[in-house]
Amino acid sequence: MGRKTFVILIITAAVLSASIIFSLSSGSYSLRLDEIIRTLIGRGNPLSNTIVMQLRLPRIFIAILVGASLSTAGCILQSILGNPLAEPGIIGMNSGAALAVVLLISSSSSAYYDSIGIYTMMLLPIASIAGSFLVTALIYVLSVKKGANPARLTLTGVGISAGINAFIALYQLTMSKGDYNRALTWISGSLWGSNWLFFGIIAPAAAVSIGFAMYNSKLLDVIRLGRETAVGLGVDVDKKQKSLLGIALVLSAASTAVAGNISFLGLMGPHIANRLVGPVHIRKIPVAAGISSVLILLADTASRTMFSPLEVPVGITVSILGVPYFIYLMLKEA
Amino acid sequence: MNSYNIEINDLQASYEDNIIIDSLDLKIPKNKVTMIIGSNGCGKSTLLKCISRLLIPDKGQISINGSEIKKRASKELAKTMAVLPQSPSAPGGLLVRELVSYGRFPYQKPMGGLKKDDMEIINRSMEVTGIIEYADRPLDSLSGGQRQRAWIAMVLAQETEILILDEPTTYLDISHQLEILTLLKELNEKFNRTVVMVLHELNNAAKFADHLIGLKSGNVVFEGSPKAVVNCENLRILYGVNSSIQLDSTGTYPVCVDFQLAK
Repeated sequence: MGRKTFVILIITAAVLSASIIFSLSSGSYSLRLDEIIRTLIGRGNPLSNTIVMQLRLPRIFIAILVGASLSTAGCILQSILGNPLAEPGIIGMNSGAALAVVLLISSSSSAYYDSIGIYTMMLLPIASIAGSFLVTALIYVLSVKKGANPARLTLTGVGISAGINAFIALYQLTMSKGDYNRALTWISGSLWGSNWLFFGIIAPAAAVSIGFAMYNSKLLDVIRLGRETAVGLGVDVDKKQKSLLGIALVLSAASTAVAGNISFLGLMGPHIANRLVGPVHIRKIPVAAGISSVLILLADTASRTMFSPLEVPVGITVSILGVPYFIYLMLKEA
Repeated sequence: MNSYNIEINDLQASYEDNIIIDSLDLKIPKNKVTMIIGSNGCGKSTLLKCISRLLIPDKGQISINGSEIKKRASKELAKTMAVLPQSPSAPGGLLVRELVSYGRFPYQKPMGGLKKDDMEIINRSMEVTGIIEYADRPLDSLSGGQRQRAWIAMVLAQETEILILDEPTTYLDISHQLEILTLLKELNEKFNRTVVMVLHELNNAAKFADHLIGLKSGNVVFEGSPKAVVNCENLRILYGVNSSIQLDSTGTYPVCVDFQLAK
């Protein structure tokens, strides 16, 4: 590892730690650093214990997992599709997860998150992954003719996701007002109601998938050179593309299950990392994951404190940050 | 010893329902520079795609050094044959050294880094292609000719007996075209690589090839040494042009000095 990469990794980790402390301390009840530390080492009072250990910490950990997962999914998709603007939200992978979760929330017709039964909660990521898988498989089948053409895959994804979003909107119209609000909050992407159980559900999936992506980083490097070059270098592109697509799918579905639809995170982290450490995946994936985690953590802290006691779904805050960056990218790429 | 690296039997290849090549037999000689020429749509790129496994033939066999390619593992084959596509693309910010190091991919384990051997081969490839001074610069900051040499360094680092290139001189000006072709010829002469390429520019092909193959509608119209096959009759069949041909001043290769559309 080069010295520059090492320094950037250290800086990213430092910024992430600072963001964690900032997020732990801010909220409707703000905590000082010494109170946080006392609570973390088990000497806090009941109030700070609840705030830190039950409310803020699990939420922060989930935010980091979601940031890292979406960013890694973005890195994978951008490389296998050869499209710098690809990310789970844009190519339609999330829409299937969104549809499945909306159906599940409305069919279980109970209160959102905290009072839905543990089984429904366990079902959430499964439904989300299943929904995402079905839709991605549909997109893949529709776009395959003698091997998957990345451009066709992307366009089909955009089309299918528009259709599914229309279907979700239609479904929402028939919902009761309470269910509608719940579904809308979820679709906009929210970390509200995060708890350790959610963390326990997605942490293994995220860790294994990110590990797999890192393990295959050289393969991703070579596939990024395009199908023709990769085949020449001895890669069975069609087969590898499928398994990498599967990993991106698990990552995006796991995050969608706990945090709803959050766009742009899979785009911003990888792009900023690309500028900092270049396009080689073994360096890019971890730096991108760190940056996306910082972004979602800061966005979430802003979401829950700016209009307190009202909460803005974090997906909206991320989009407000992301849209200008996206447009900047478009202008620059063109 | 077999004097052919690549043998093609009864090949049929198509895009969607369009048959481009129908029943082609061809042998590509070992340790020679072979160039495939022909007009647009004659099937030369399709042929290269079949050899490099980018396109699965409808029927027929393609053998590399006597064994059929569809029966061999991709990674194994990548140690025998390297392929440079027509306009390869690399992500922005990739350094020349990093690109060249990808040539070692077929030899690497997923998490294993570059070994000392690999490093030596990468450096040597950059030296031979004359880009070692740009090793730590981003590929996108290089000129077209330098960039193409970096790509050639990548396939060179693959350490294969056979190099396959699809129009390696496209988009390059005349001096860079000569530079690339001279380099490829050198690789053939000094390192005994079998070089196979598709080329558009007839005079370059006649000047640099040991073996020329003229392809029309998926069939071989002529093959042999440039001196033997570049003549008025063959060019009329291949391109539909009348040409005046002379030998160069040393008398080693033919030069077409003028062309007219055949009426």
